[in-house]
Parts: sequence; structure tokens; C-alpha cells
Amino acid sequence: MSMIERHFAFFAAGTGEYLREWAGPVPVPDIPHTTRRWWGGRMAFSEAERQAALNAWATRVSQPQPGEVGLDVTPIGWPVGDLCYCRVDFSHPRPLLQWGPPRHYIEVRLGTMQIVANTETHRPLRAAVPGQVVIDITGTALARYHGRIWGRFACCDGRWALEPLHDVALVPRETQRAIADARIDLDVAQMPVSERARVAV
Amino acid sequence: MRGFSPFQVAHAVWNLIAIGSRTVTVTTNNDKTGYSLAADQAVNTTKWAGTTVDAQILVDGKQAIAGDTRGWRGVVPNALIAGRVDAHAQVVGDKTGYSLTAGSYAIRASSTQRSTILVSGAASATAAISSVTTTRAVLQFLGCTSTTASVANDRMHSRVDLTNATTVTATKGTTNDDSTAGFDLAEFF
Repeated sequence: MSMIERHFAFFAAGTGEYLREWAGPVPVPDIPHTTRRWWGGRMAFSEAERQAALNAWATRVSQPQPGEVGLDVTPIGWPVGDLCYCRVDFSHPRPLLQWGPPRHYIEVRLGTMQIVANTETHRPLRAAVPGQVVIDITGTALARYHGRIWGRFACCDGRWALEPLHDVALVPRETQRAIADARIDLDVAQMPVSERARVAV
Repeated sequence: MRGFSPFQVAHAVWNLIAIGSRTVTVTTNNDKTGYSLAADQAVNTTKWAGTTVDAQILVDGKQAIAGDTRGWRGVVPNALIAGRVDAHAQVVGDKTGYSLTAGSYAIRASSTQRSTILVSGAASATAAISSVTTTRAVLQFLGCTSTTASVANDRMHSRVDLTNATTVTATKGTTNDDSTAGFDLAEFF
């Protein structure tokens, strides 16, 4: 039996909220291009018939639970887990996959604990550069300054603080004060212990 | 050997014929037609199709049967709704537990992420992005901000490149000074 790699995401049928995802090999859909009609001749599948057959195949191979609606999200091409902030709007004639609100991240170079990037995306952001970590600041005190958060993290008296970059061209003076005063409630556990020790003052 | 038992024959004769009279008495009426039942004649049904039913069936004067059901299969049924029995279709009405392929649901035409990279103490810096398919992604440079007062191009200007599916690199011509480069990255579907 030929297999094909597919990626399915499941959403709550009532609310459209994200539930789960998985990807893996499934049997190739065996959808004929023609169908036998009652008068004996063969005619091509209509697009609607073909789509219905594909949906039946997707239901069979993805095995959604009662209360779930599964979407074959393989064509989107995102890694498994990247749809976790998405939801589905079932009020549309065709269910609409919505991206969800933007999330804000900063990226820190561990060697210097300096911030190297401010990134906004509606998806999870994973570390992809060696020696750098990504911190999700969505919902923290820093989030409102996103795009102007430059400086370095330092640990003083067991408490993390952000020393803003003292350069008004990059960080306006008011923003510098706000960042310095902001209570850092980041999940510093994301950073390796050795690096935390290195920046401890 | 098959044959009549003398006791059975005697019994039949005893039932059907009263000796010495012209009267014939039939003790069992098998016809069961041409008779009426009084109103509200109660029948206490204890077995229904092999299942014990806690019910009482009443036959009224209109020859209709009214069932006063107190339990079905050991469960008290719901009250009647508009004079009808409440019936649920369960899974048939839920419309869940199915999956759709790409042509049966809609998505936004594009997915966008925006970032600013700080190039400090080096000629380039690289930042992570959410994974994209590079063949359908478009990177748009949003300009740069430099800390230098110099007018030298290599200090002022920078560029951005989509390095691979998960990183973008900002580059400037010198390691001097700090600068930030902004970009928009759109992935089209």
C-alpha cells in the first residue's frame, strides 16, 4: 500500500478552538477520475464529487474524535504545532482558518545576553540560530515596547533586569526608562543555567 | 402408536354435550369478535415483547389505547413535548468527527511576520523566523536605523536576506556602529 505524509490539525466543532495536531504517513487516497453512470457510460467525476471523496478519505485516515473537525493542513507547509494559535470560523460558507492574534518575541544572544531581534508573528517562534534563544514576551510588561526593545539582560540581586541600549536613535529616552523600570517576568528558565550564571552580577 | 385416549374422548363429550338436553354449551369462545369493552378497562402489562415493562395500558371508550408508561427499559422517559415523544438523533445531528481537505476550507491569502534585527559589533546578525516555504515567501526591507552620524554608506545602510526557511540575516558594510534593519516577510498560499 502506497503511503503519503500528511499533516492534520483538529479544532472544536462548536467554538473553532485549536485542539491538537499530528503528522504522519497515511494511505494514498484512491480517488478514481471517472465514475460509472446509470446509462452505462463513464463520465469524469465532478469537482464536488471528487472533493467529497477526498473529504471521506481524510476523515477515514485522520480519525477525528466526536466533537472535532479535522483539517488537512499539509499544503500550508508549517511544522507540527505551528497552528496552535489558530482557530476555525465555522460561520463562513466554507470554514475559514484564522491565524489568531499576533505574538511578540525577542531573541537573545546567549554569549552577551544582548537582544538581537524583535519579532512579531502569529505563530510559535523557535530558536534557529546557534547560541541564540527566543523568548515569548506576549502578555508581559515588555510587550508594549516591542520593536524598540534593545539592550542586554542582567541579573542583579537574584532578579533579572533589562539594561536598555543607551542610544536614542534606537531606543527613545522614554522607552529606555520604561524598559529599565519594567518588571521582568520572563520565563528565564528557557535560558541555560550556565549562561544565567555568567551574567549574574 | 397414535390414537385417542379414552380419557380425552370422555372429556370432550363431557364438555360439549349435556346428556338429556338439547342445549349445547360451548365453554371456550375462540371467535373474540362482536363484543365491547367498558371504558377505562385497565390492562396491567408485565411483559412486552419479552421485556418487562412497567406500564399500564388503558382502553377507553373511543377504542383507543392509552399507555401510562412509568418506565422504559428501567428508565423513566422524558415528559412528552407537544404531545409527542422526545426523540434524539444523537450523532446524526452533531455534524462532528469529520475532516476536510484543502479545497473544502478557506485560509487567508498570506501569512505575515515582521521583525527588526540589531547589527551590533559585527557586520551581520541573524534572527529566527517562523518556518516558511521559501519559494512562496517574499521578504520586504523596511529600512534601517543607524546610530552613526557618519554619512558613509557602509555604516548607514544595511540589507536583509532570507537565509533559509527559518532565518533572516541583516548585513551592513562595517563592524562599526550599531544599526537596526526591519523587514516584513509574507508567505502566500
